Formats: sequence, structure tokens, C-alpha cells
Amino acid sequence: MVFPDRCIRGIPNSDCLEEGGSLPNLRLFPFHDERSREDGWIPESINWMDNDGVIDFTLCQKKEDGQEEQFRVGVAILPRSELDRLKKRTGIAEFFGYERAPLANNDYHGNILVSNKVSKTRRNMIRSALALASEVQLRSAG
Amino acid sequence: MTNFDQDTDSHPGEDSSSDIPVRIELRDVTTGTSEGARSLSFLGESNPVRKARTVIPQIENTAVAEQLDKLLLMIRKMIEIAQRERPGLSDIPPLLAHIDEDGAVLVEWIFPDFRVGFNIEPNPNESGWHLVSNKKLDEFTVSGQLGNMDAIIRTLLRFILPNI
Repeated sequence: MVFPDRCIRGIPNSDCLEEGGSLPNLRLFPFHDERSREDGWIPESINWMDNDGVIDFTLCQKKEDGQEEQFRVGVAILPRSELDRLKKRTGIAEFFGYERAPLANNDYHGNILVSNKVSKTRRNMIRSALALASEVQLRSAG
Repeated sequence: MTNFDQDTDSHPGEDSSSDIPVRIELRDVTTGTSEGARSLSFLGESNPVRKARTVIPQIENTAVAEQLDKLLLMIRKMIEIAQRERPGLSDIPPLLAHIDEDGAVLVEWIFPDFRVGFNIEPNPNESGWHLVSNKKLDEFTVSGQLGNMDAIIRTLLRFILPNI
């Protein structure tokens, strides 16, 4: 499986950013237990940045109703090197990962994965690390 | 002096992870009070825990509320002591707290090059802390249980304050 150097996380609302600023907080990657899959992974959607056009593609993604833009605030760009570093640092590699998971209308789609066996403390550490490594690009006005 | 060499072995679901041995020097802070503390100027706030404290009345679980209150009080007290020792200490961003869907409280302290966080759980044994930093600050990814709150906060502040 080929993975590009960066991936993108859409930012749906300003709750994911530091109040009044553009630094992402740990709500950017919730990893809620309710989203846990049968294989034990909790996925959070990303788009793999196979080319520079994926930023615009992500910003143009619509909500299920097909009307509103899904990521009204902008996008966060994450280097894959950080994901690889976290994979080594979170203790056991089986607890953290990433994947490609193309959708019918999105070839770039993938997931960042955290095992549902990871305690909340360590999960929050991962969430913070992902937020810290993210570079936010706010949607330009108009 | 009390030394903390945290466990570097990681086990499924446990929170003993640490990439650095943390060495701290404990001193008696029982005389440290807010009395006479300098007025702090943290992004327009008089103290960095004020915003997080506003969450406390909204917390339904008493154990969580008490832990958060204790945590914030301790952080403020230690910052005030540090402020007296380092008069130039300023621009400490506010701690942010929000109630999670399961009733736990997440406290987040955001700095440009690192983040510190606390998860306050209904079962105090499950409450924890974490610190992550970027390349400028050696890429720490450390977490642990919040059992010895006093020592943990002191250790974290020894990292935080010089790196603001």
C-alpha cells in the first residue's frame, strides 16, 4: 500500500480550534468509543494527499444533504512522519495505525486508527499529538 | 529529592508510557499561598485556570468536580509560587476544560510547541495526564495516571514554565 507524505483532516466547526485562534485542539480527532469497529479499531476519517488538489477536493466535500459544505472552517494537514513516529511511541504498534479506505465518491479517503483497547489517558495523548502536528489552513473568506 | 523514573515499558491499555525519565525535586510548598501574588496577565485573564473553573458547576459527578477543583487550585498555586520566583513570567495561556460525553472532563493546555492535558474520570484511578511536544522540544509523548497529583503538576510545570 502506498501512502503519500501528508494527509488531510477536514475541520467542520470552530470547536476544534483554540478559541479565537487557529491552533487545533484535541477535539479535532475525537476517537469516540461508539465509533469502534468490529476489528477493534476506532477510525477517524482523513483524505490522503495524493496531489495538491486534494485540499480543494476536501474543502468542496458536502454534507450528506448535498447542500452545505462539510468542512466549513478549513482543513488540517498532517505529515505522515508524525503518524509513523506516534506508531512507534504509543507503546505497541498494534494500538495505532492508518489505512486507505476509498469510498465510492472519494478515492483519497482513509482513516487514522486507534485501538479501542487504548486507555483514555493514552488516547488523549494521541489526540493531542495529532492536533499539535496539524497545520491548519482556514477556508478563505468568500 | 524525589526521583521519578517512569516506566518505559508499555502494555496494552496501560498508561505507564514515558519516553523520558522525569527527575523532579520536591520542595515544601505548604507555605505557598496566593497571598501577595503578583497580578498575572495571561491573555487578558488574571489567572490561567479561571476559564477552566467555569466548567465546575456544570459537572454532575461530584468526584469529577472535586478532582478538577483540586487540580486547578494546585496548578494556580504553583504558578503563583513560580511567578514570585520569576517576576518576568507571563503570557501563560488559559487552561481549557470541557465535559466529555461520558461525564469525564478533559483539560487542555495549548502551547505553540507542546500540549499538556488531563482527563478527569469518575473513577479517580482512571484519571490521567499527558504531555506531547514537537521537534523543537524533543518530541515527547508522555502520559500517566494522575495519582500523585502534586508531584505530577510540579514536574509538568518544570517543563512548561521554561518553555513558554
